[in-house]
Amino acid sequence: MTRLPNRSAQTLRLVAELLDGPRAWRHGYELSKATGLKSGTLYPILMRLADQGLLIAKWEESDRPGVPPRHVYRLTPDGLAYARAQAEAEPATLGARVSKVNS
Amino acid sequence: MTRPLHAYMQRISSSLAEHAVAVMPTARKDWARAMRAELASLDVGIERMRWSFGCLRAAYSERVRHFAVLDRLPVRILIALLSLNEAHGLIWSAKLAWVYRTNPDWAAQYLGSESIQVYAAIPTLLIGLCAISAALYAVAAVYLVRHRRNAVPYYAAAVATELTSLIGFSWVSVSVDSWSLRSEASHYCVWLGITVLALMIASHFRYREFPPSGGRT
Repeated sequence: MTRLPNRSAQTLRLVAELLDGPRAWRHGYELSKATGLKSGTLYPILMRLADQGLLIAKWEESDRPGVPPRHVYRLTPDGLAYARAQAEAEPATLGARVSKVNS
Repeated sequence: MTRPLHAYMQRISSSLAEHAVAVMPTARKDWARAMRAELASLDVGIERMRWSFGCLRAAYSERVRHFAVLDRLPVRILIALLSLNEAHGLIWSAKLAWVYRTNPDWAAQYLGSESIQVYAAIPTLLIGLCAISAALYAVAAVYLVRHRRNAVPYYAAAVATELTSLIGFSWVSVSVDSWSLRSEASHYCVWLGITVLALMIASHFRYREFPPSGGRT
């Protein structure tokens, strides 16, 4: 049996948010606020996306003294392709974002 | 929020995030550190607490997933056999309760004097629930052995149906004044064990079918 890709509402919401600013690096907390996903849900999805090569993560030094470096994330070219493919399947969630990105 | 309480919550949330880093499997440590680093940029006490509990949940969920014991067929067969044993127990209870209505003498040889009162008072609905739960366990066991994620909803339904029937049995026991704490506790402990197994199975399958093959083409 062919395995189906994960299209959970939470994953789609996160991908939609990342697709909103495809070149911008985003913090975990910022993504959590924007998507309404709690950290316990958000991070496992981020891990899965990174495992699949759809998301890239890097450490970024903080501007504020005493604050440790933070992880930042954005979609890889494969991730963008995946997001666009999902947008075709789920136009209500992702379609508007894709048209915004393409314009 | 008062200052001591705020400081106390800061300490607790930091400890929880530290614990999450410790629990996270080695291959994922960097992600736990990333979650902990986010915590440092949060000032509000309650928000920090929420974030740190989320870290803990993610860490434990990854820890359970990385056991990967369910990838092994013998382990799946063992859990399936435990499930079938539970199904057998449920079918046996349903059978005794049903037969008691038609042939009390036959059923009496398997039941103690206290149990007879309970079985006599069991409504048909509960007998049906036991049978349904047993069937659900059996189907779930088959899906588990075949490593199909369909096992998850069947286990969830089986566990929920069994809990409902257990509560029903307890209710009947109390109503006929034949309630035994030891007997009830043993039933609920077995149910709890099965529930933990079902949660492990759900966690195992949660991201099992993630590979977005459609998106990579």
